[in-house]
Amino acid sequence: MKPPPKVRIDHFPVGPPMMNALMEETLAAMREDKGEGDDDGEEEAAEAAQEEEGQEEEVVETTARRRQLRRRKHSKSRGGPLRRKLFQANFHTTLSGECIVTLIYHRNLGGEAEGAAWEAAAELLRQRLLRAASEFGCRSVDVIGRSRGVARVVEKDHVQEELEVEFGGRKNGGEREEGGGAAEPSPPSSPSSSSSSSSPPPRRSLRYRQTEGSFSQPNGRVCESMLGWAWRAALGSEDTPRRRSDDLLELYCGNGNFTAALAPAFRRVVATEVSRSGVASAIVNLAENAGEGDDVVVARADAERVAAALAALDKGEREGEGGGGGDTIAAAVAETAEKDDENNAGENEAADDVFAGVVPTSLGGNADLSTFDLRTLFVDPPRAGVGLVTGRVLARFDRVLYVSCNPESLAADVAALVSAKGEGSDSAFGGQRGGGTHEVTAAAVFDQFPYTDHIECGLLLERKKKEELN
Amino acid sequence: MTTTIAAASSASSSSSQAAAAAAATSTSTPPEPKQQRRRFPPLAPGSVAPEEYEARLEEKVERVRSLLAGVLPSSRSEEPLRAGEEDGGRQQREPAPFPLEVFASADQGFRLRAEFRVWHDGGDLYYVMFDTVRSKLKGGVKEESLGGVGARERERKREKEDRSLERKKTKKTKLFFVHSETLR
Repeated sequence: MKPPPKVRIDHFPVGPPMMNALMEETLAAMREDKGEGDDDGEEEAAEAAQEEEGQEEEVVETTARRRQLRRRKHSKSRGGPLRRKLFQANFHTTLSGECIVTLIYHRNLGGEAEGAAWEAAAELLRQRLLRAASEFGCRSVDVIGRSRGVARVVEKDHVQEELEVEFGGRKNGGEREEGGGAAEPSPPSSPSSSSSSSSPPPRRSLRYRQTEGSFSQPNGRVCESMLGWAWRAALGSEDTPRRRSDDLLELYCGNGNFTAALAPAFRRVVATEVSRSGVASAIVNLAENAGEGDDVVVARADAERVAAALAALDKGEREGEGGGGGDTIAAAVAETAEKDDENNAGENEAADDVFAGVVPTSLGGNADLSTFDLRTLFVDPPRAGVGLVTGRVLARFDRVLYVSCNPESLAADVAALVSAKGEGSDSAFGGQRGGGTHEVTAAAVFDQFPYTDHIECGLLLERKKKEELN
Repeated sequence: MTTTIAAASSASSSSSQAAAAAAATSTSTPPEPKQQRRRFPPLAPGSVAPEEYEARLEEKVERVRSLLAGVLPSSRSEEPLRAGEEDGGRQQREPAPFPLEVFASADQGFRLRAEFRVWHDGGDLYYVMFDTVRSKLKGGVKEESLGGVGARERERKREKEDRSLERKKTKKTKLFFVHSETLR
């Protein structure tokens, strides 16, 4: 298959000025990074060109000929330790001004001499980049070199991001929620809602650790909008933000991006994530942002397993029995660990380490789902959506807050909630939606990816009141 | 077609009330056909078009609205009009689109992370991105619009001509120079 056409990037207006400064300076450093025997490069290239000229009458170059030429050119591009066989450059900037430049090579950086030479050059590059980008708000630069199976880090592999999030009462569709608010009384016995200090400030600065190579929201300002919207949607209609009296379950919590913002809105939060590095970052980020009265449990577990555990718990309750073996999140965690162990048995200890940090000490290791009042669900799943298994438990929540980068999978996942199954009644009412246990009460679109077809959207679905169900 | 889009655009100032108001007062049209013609072709990777930002966002928002058509309630259609609201009688029965709160991005400098392939070209090196989006379009990408393989081939040919001219004056030649304005 023909590879897609390449586009040379000299200026990158998609990225902030800080990134452009880093890009330019990195390239300048590479151009200056001469290795031994590079001086004859121009001469050799001239020879190659002359050879090319000799075949000028040959109008169509064959693919093989082009490849041959390219190979020759590559063998000529030697360069010093920074430049030689440099394959890719990744730039990770933040609103806070901390940056990482990752250089990926088609040569082994693992060797002692090779690695030492690279690290020395990278340290000089690091200082040079910081000088060049500081006028654009750059506060720190780290340089990471990668080759197959090797990562050399100068000086650290993560940055600290700071997001300013507008909190405050819900603005949108508030009048629709008047009844809904009354239906959810906050009992005075609630541990945190009684004290005034539990009311979060209207504007908060959230700090996040972002690890190189792990997912983070690419558009910082829009991420701030998303966090603010999610907060308002989660709180409900009340004008003065106040901690809810029920608990939140968050699946796919990643590095705790939304968890940190939503924690002050709920009595307690259970957040789950299957990726090890995600859980580790989430723990750091939640500790960093923990406010008074926040109570968050992070567990490393597959979303579907948590959903299954929840379904088993609900079934047990309906049957009047004390729940089966699958009713705790510990079971889901254990299952995830087992699955891991099958894949890579050597990582048992690493897994144990993560588990040791997963659950805050106050909970003594296991989070028993039956002790939570999980009435709100937050999900920001991968593009494919939550899928069937998790999709089935959406309906058990009074409120489902769903953020998605794929409107199609979002629509498919919540379709069963908002329309009666298997009925063709929609068309009979001229597009009016009927049936279903829930309805969308707030919807938002976030332009995370300008000028592309990608877009992020969010829905709040709330359970209909009894009289609305028919 | 334009009326519902107008409703969405006013919301992009992130004022949802404006959106709701605009939605309520606009003359609604029946649901649009699913296959909309896109007004804006995708851009080359790494480029922006700030003057088109708002319109491009509106187009996206409309696409989201049509994708979520089966999920969003057709809100307020059955609710009585509020007192004092100016509204023509004929609009009363028509459903207003459910308010979508739209959060716009900055129109440039918005992306905090980016990855580039490094291209070694003779003695020089530079960043490249692959034009995956546009190469998938029907009919492919117009060559003259970007520095793809075709453009580079032609560029190289032109360089050769330039070089042979140049060589008549001096032995020293500059190689693999690429005109930046052809490679946006």
